[in-house]
Amino acid sequence: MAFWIIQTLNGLSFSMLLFLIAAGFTLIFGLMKIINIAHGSFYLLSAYIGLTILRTTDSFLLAVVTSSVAAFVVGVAMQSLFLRRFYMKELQQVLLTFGFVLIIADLCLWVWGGNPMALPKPSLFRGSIWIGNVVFPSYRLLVILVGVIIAVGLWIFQEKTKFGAIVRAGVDDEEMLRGSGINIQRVFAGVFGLGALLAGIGGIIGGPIVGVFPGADLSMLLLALVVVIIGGIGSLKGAFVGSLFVGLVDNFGKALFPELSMFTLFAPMAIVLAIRPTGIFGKMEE
Amino acid sequence: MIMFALLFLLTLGGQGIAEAANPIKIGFLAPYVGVFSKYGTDLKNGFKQALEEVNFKAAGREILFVTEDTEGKPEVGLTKTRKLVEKDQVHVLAGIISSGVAYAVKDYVVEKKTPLVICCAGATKLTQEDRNPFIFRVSFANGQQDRAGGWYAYAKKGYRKFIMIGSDYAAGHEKAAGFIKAFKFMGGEIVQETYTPLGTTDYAPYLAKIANLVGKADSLWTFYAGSDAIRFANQYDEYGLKKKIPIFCEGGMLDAANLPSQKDSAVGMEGYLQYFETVNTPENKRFFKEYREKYKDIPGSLSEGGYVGGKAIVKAIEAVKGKIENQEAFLKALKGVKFEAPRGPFRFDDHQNVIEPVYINRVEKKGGEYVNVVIDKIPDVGQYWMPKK
Repeated sequence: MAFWIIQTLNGLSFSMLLFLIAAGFTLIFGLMKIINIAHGSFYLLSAYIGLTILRTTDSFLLAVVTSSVAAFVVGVAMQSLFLRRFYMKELQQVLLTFGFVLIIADLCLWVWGGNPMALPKPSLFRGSIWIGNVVFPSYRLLVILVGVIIAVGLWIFQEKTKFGAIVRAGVDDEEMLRGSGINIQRVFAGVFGLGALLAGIGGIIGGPIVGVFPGADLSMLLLALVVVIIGGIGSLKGAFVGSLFVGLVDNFGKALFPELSMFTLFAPMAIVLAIRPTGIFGKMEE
Repeated sequence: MIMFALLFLLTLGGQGIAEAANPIKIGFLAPYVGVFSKYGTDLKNGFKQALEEVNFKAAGREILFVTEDTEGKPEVGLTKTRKLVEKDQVHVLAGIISSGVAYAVKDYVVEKKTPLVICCAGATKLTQEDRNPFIFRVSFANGQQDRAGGWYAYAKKGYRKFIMIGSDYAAGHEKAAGFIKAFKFMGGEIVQETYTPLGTTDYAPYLAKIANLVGKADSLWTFYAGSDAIRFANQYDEYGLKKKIPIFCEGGMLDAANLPSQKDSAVGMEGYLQYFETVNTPENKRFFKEYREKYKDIPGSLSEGGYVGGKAIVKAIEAVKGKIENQEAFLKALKGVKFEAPRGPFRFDDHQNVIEPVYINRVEKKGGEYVNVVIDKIPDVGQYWMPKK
């Protein structure tokens, strides 16, 4: 029994981490139709900045705030200085974001070096909690909690606030939204920044589990892609369900059939694609 | 006619002079990105230190050092090897961390008759079934130290039941096989054997499975490198398993390169390897001090491996008085190279693989720094070493 509880909690903590990264990716795509290859770079940048702050101040809260704000600023700058010039030109946008992947990865390599590193955990959550005769790290419970809070927050934001309503309108019919006199550029920049912020939080929260190293950007992007493909691209609900699905399936797959561990991640994606090409919550093309 | 003869002689003579003064080119292959990136830098730094000790000169000839990034990928490694051999026309190749890369370049370097001194990759067959006069190895054949480790775990540590977990590629399987061979030969039992993909982000599912075996196993063996080593050690401790099932591993997981990120998680873990930073030889004291001053870093087993490879090549060039173009003589000289390395006495066996001591270590915290303390030594371990009951 303890085994199943632990494995479920493991799966949930990894799911929440995936959600933080996939949510931003899917938000950005939903509104602007930008496939942001540089989304993992926000994760990388934020984790490295967080690491530096943790080393100098030892305050985890400060690290979370600073590094996610930094990701937000970089995101807004990336959108309003560069990507807006290529509005609706998908190929150019993908190439541009790929350029950012290379630039940010090289900058990080230059500043922080190639040595893989692990972020220290906040001091309150360094211990473990006993469940039955097995221990579970309390930090992972924190990750689950943070993930749920952010998911609820995003839901309230989308459903209950005016800005959320504008974003939803933009996703459904962006031309109409322009017609109603809303400064769409500001909305775009805001949503792009929000997406970057979420990935940034993912970086600093995930750092103590996954670590930070050259290449973390692309491996996190790959996971986010699997999540949004399963959940349906452009849908926050899809990102949440997709994360739970991938996190749990991957975890139980690895635990029960360790020799198939690459398969357990990509097989569900292939099956979902075969049955429902737009993902579980994706909108069918008209 | 006389003028023609004169010109002819001049060109010939010119060529002769050019050859003596031509620099010797060494092509160095290592990964500078990916899971092994830090190891690649360590390997290169160690190798360059050996060249700098002789001011990039051997037997009066200048040594040119050219390096290329294999990215740890077989296909990239092969492309870069081609570039070094065909474009840079190197006289000798060295380096290589991944066994996958080593297997991939083998046929090519043999075909091109370019000597290769492997400084890390343990790909077993390269110095055993598929051995070749052009391939040398100064690090270890996978399984070499692991058989010694398996014996030590049974005979000296008193462990009887082991869990095996390691990276799912050539080295992980070959090393585990070596350990299991000696451990079972002594009478030990393997409770569980798992291989995880290179670059696994989260070990939690595997760890929960290991937690199920608490009380059913005496110890756990691992083979992990780079970012995998850091994540595995940290998460193993995080799940409270370190105290329940002690780790006795392939010492690469506890390499000096990883300790600053593993911190307290690694303290108390034990392993075995041909080199740790605290090996007590006069040569290592000097090497450690110079390396630390130069690179502001602690030399790990990769740094020392690079250093030994560089030194072996320099010694062989000196032995043939700089005439590396006389390949037969150079290969013979390289095969016969003997010197005191930081790890202890260095020499090749008949199949051009190193014979070396294997050290047993334990990670301890000393004055705020995490160090591998050497607690025991098994001398003269060759690639065919087997324990006696």
